Amino acid sequence: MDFTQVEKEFIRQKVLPDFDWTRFDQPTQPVPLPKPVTQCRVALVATAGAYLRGSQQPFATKSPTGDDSFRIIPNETPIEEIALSHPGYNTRRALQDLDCVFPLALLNRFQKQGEIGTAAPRHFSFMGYIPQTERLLTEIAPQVGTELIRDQVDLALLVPS
Amino acid sequence: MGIATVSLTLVKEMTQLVKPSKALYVQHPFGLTLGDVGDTATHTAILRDCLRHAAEVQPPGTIIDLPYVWTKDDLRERQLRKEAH
Repeated sequence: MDFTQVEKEFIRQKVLPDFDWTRFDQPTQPVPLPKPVTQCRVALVATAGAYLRGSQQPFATKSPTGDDSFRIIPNETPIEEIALSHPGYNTRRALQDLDCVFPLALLNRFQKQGEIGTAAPRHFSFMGYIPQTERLLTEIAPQVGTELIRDQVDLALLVPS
Repeated sequence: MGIATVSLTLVKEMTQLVKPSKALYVQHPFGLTLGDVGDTATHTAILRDCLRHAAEVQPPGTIIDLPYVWTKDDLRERQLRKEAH
């Protein structure tokens, strides 16, 4: 049994009896990079459950219907001010080295080394347990898209957890 | 109009349901997407691969197997059986 079956059965038994995966018939059409990577502004869009310790609410990790909100992480945020809330993986381990799931420090080193143009001014984190996706697809993800465009992002790196 | 994206994935079968424009598959445990705690070399290599593949033109929905496989222990296998966190 592949993992999508294992996870579906797990969620149905433990949390949400009518859960099924959202699936798409056709792939998303690629948008070409507008310029060389070394000139690109790059943003992270992660599902690690990252949030700003002290000024943002953690994600809801105990709700059977998950949490489809997102948090904005400014690029200059000191790494120690970023916390993780996610029921699906060991967040204490990932907090020992945030680059494992939210490579903000790494992205900024790439900027310093000239491997990318710039790190975007803002990065975005979701929490990856979102079993009911309607609002995500119709409102919330487009909102993040709008913010990425506002920030003149050339490339979004999508990082799962 | 839109934004170029490249997605990492830890579970190819899930990505095959969602069909993002371009995805890169790594066989790492959940919560260690870019590699182990302190493994800066692997984190760096994976990010470099993301940037390199982002610049390539590929058919929509392409999933590329990156050469990163977790060998430290059986954490990933146990996670895929829901036996570990």
